[in-house]
Amino acid sequence: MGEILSVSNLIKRYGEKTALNGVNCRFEQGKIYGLLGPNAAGKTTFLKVCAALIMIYQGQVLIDGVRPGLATKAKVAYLPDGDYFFDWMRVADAVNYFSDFFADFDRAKAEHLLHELELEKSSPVRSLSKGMKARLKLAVVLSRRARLFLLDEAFDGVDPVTREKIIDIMLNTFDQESTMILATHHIDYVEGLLDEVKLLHRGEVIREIAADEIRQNSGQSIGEYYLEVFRNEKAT
Amino acid sequence: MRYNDREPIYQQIMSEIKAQIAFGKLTPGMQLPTIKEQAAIMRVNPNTVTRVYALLEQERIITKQKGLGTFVSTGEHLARKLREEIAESATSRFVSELLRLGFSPAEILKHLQHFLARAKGDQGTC
Repeated sequence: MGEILSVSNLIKRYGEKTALNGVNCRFEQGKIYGLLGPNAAGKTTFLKVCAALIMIYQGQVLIDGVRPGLATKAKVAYLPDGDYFFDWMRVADAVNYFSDFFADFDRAKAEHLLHELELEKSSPVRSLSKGMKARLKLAVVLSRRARLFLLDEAFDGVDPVTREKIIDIMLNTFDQESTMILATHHIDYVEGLLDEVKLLHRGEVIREIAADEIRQNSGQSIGEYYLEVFRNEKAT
Repeated sequence: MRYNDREPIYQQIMSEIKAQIAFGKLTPGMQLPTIKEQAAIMRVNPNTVTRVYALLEQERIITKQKGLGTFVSTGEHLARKLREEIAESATSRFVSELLRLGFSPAEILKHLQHFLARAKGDQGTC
């Protein structure tokens, strides 16, 4: 399996504040990664750099050997934290918009996902509940046949049924050709999904470890390992 | 399948499949779900299932036939061998735990005999 994303000494500052403080890590094709860390660890900033939404930074980021930009946007699908659609849109408009924008958008899959997630095409996005908006975001993003999926807090504000549906869809979407990076603090939801975990703390990757290695070495779940690492971090 | 988060998941799935073969839920020659199907059924990462199938294939418990699918290996002794392994493993865990707590082998044997005698007795009254 090849390397799909490599990050070397990535630094991003906002004036006095340092969001990413020299991130070094690599991601391989065909795996599901968890990017875990507390709020303000830099997860969103990291994903935005990879998604070519933040273009000013120091260090090197390469997606299939190319710097994030227009070319990579065509094969990177980004699910943002927060609102994603225009107020005037209905569900069908959101799908059309995505379809227009992205060559790799799979309409048939989108139809299927809308149905699975019980989204009505004629519903105004404005009128959707938080959970339904989350479902719609997922539906359009996962309908892309992307090489790299960057999902920022896909489970926030989502009820248990929606959560299960989302996990099922992720498992179905995922294949050896693609890679998923899930930034989340809902570690318990993704225990069974993750191949590898990267812990981000104050803008740096402090741990990179395979999920099974955590379980094998210390008989812990990923969640327990996370707590252990971050409790120690706070102590220092 | 409910799995616990503390043991490598691939090991748990392997144990589950071996148990299914050992106790006849999966029979020799029966076709297994594809990796993707299995991942969906068990709600785990497909890479985990890939690993499981590869390991089971190494142990010759399942066989992959190119273009046709993955099947439980044929061979009448397979189920019996797996049953033995499961019993061995459970016994080992049971005995190790009690030894760790400080019980002597003689005490362990006594407890086991009493338990089995009671269980047999219960069966008689059912």
